Amino acid sequence: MRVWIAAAATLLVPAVVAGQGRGKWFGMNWSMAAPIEHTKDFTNDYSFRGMGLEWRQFSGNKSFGFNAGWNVLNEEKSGTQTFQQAAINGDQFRYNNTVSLLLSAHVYGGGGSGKARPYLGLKAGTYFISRRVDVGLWQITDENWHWGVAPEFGFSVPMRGGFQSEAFYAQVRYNYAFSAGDAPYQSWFGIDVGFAVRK
Amino acid sequence: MLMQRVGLRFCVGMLVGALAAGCYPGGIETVSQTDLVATFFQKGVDFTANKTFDMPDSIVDIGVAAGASSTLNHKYDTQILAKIQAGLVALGYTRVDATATRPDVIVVVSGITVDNYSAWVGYPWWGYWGWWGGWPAGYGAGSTWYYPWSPVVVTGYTSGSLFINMIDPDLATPQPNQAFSIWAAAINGMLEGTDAEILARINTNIDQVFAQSPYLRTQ
Repeated sequence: MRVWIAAAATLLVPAVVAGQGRGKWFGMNWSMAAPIEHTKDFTNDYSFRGMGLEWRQFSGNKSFGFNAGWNVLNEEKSGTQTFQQAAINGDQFRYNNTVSLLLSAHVYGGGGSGKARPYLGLKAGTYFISRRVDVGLWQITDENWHWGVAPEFGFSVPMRGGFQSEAFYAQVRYNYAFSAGDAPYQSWFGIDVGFAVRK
Repeated sequence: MLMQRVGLRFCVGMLVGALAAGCYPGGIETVSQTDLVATFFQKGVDFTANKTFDMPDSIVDIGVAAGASSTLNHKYDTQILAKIQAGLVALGYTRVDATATRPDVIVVVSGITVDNYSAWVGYPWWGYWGWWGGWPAGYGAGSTWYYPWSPVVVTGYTSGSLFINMIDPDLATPQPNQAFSIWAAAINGMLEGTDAEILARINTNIDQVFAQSPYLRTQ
């Protein structure tokens, strides 16, 4: 189902872009995640599950825009956890579901027509982070909205031939979500590989 | 060119969607993965001071008294109790006949097969084990449990659970007419599979109970 939704979303791109005039940029990416610090303590494994949607409005060599992303991290582990007066043994299934809603600003480097163009950016906004542990027949869930910031760098490579409006892009982002509720701050590197349309 | 562009974007969308959703993380796949072994102990207790124990020779079904129905299968009570006794003996304890010799600790075993039951509540237990001749003076009808870790640990259980409780009759409790639990274990899991498979899992989990309670050693 998600596959068909993603495919339908890309078909809508021309209409969205045409309605907004030139200088608009719309991207869709496959998003991977490498957890660090508290996030790695909870779910250690590198994640290949995630996707993102991005819109940017250009002005010269700068742009501002909006980004929506989704990453799923998980880890399976077994063993004994000890507490002050207790110890619990069982298989644990840990999940970290993160949805990010971020405003963005980017500045672009050189790169002539048809050449790769590097960029630096900063994103800021909110992260909804749901952390869940399934152990035995129990389930413990912790859900919080976090404020966060995410500096990133990347580059886009325009396609050739008749596809002047299309480009591939890749970017690496350091996500930092401030502590919220009972959850400590969360951090991970996002690695995106995407496809963009510009008008 | 328009059709090519539409085709390209559709393919990219399919690819991104497939990569993002293609391998959503899995979860519990086997019944044994639902097994959970929890142990609790009272801090400050010198377990090495206890050398002897005795235990009633039955597993009590505590579900009915808790207000729920229960279908606890007593078919393997003997094997389960023998397994627990063997675990205690391996830790250095000696079983004595409480009707003749006062043991240092008393071990009682209970079980339940209903959902959402909190094990660590101070329900009267005399009705279950009161018939046993090993209780020291002071216990009687209306006696309840004293769990030092409660209510810190609130335990809800689903499906099958087995509880092992170690009582020290020499320790004073906050209220009169209570039995001081210095150590307890809970084994919880789904009751699926053949009786033999369930018994094998119970045996494995009883081994785990003692493996994660090394402080129980008598020396």
